[in-house]
Order: sequence, then C-alpha cells, then structure tokens
Amino acid sequence: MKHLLIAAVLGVAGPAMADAVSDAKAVNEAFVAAANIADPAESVKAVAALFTDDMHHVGAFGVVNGKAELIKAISGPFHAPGRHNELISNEATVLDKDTVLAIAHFKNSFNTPEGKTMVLPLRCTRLMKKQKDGRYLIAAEHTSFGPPAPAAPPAK
Amino acid sequence: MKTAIVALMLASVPSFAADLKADLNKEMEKWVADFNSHNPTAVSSHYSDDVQFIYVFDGQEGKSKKALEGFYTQSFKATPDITVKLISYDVVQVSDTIAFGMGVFEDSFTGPDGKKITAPTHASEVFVKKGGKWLVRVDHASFVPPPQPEAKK
Repeated sequence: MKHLLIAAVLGVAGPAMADAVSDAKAVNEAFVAAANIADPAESVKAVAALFTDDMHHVGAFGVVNGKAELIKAISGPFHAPGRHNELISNEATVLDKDTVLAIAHFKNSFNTPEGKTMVLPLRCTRLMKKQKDGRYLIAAEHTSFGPPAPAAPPAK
Repeated sequence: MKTAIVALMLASVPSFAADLKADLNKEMEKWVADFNSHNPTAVSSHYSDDVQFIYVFDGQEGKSKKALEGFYTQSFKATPDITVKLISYDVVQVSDTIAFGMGVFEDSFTGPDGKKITAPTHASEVFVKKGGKWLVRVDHASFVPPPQPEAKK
C-alpha cells in the first residue's frame, strides 16, 4: 500500500516537475525573443514582463531591485544598435514546488560607436517563481560577463 | 484569539526575514574566514553536494563539491596571497528552504605582473536548507561592472 502511495505521488510529481523545468526553460527562450525585438521600448517592455515586480538582479547592471529599476537599468543598453541575443545553453532544476533554478549562457552582441561588433558571452543564474496564474517569472538573477583569465606568470 | 494568532503570525514574518539575513550574513563571514585560511575543504563545507559554480573569469565554471574543491585548490596555488573582504550582503527569502544572497566583496591579490590588485566583485548565492543547515547550491561571482550609459530621451 505504502509503495502504491509513493508510486502515485511520484506519478503526479514527475510530470509536474517536468512541466516546471520546461516552463522555466521557456522563460529563458522568451527572454531571448524579447531581447531581440527591434524596437528598444517594446523590447524593454517584453523583457520586463518576464520578471516579478519585486525582482532582484545582480551583475551586468549592478544591483537592481524591483521592475521599475530594471526598466531604468536596461533602457540605455537596449538602445545599442545591432543588438542581438542568442541562447547558448539552457538548463533548469526544480528546487521546490514553486521554485525552479535555471542556469543559462547567452551570446549578446551589439555594435560599438566605431561600428565594430562587440560580442559578450553572458552567464546567468535565475530563480524563477511560480505565480498564481501558473506562469513562472524571474524573481532573482545574476547575469554576468566573464572576461578571459589573465595569462599565468611564466614558469621559472 | 484567532485575531491574536494572526497578529502573532504577521509580527513574526519580518523577524523571520531578519533572522535569515543575520544567519546568512554569519554564514558568509565564516565562508570569508575559511577562504582567507586557504582551506579548500573548509570552504567546500558551505556548499551542497550538487553545487554549481560560476566564477569571475570565462570558463571558471563547474558542478559538484569535488570540482569546487579542485577549483579552490588550484586558485589558492595560483594566487597564494589572495584574500577577500565582505563589504555588504543582502538576502532575499524565496521560500522556507530557498534564499538568494547578494553580496559585494573586495578581492585582493598579486597579479601576474607582480602588481597588487584589489577588485570589487559581486557574488550571488542560491541557498537551500538541508538538514537544518543553509548550504550554497549555486555560487556566481563577477566583477562589478562600470556604470551603464543613460537611456536616450
């Protein structure tokens, strides 16, 4: 009986966890689509819609607390010409019934004022929270650029 | 009576958050002490077995406590005078067993050219509570970026 109960619970939890994982991955995919909207104002609006109102960001834009601050922080960079975002890796793990951890890598590029294309590989940790309507939104994230490591000193 | 219970529950919410912030600040101070003693095993005791880490330079990423210990062993060898200082640490409670920590640190070490470098870094930790102990599930560190350009009007 006990085994049947466990099997029944796993039977329900299994698909639910798989759904949460694909939902969280879909948020990262939606992020890329939103970041690639050509109109900067529309792009900012679409990106901001993927975050909770009381979101937290640390990293590329310093420390950002709340959606209003996020919109202010990304509005300038989103005006960069030639802006393009690409999802390189996208993995998600369920932490609890309402929280998914997502770790993703992006390739972010834009044109500099000199007309050169600048490519910034970004690493991203995200905690996504299930909302009342069942959607997952980004509650906290750390998105950063990792510069190349300096050369090691020559061996003596 | 019911009102009193509800009031008591509401009053305990900020206190719980404050306790969590104090607990995780204490945890990070211990982490700093273990880091500054250059003891990879002591450092790794703050992490869950399935830890994932992303550190400041490109490619400094890994999964598992073993990989983390390997990273710190190599790092302490490559920069034998490296120290970190905790400047500030904030905590967001995500659920009863999950928290997100955001800190500013200052890393000091001698660079490849022999010059002393002090670099401000951001770190975030995804904490999970296991067996009554908060452990770091994801550790992500990056250099503090330069100021961003203002939006065009």
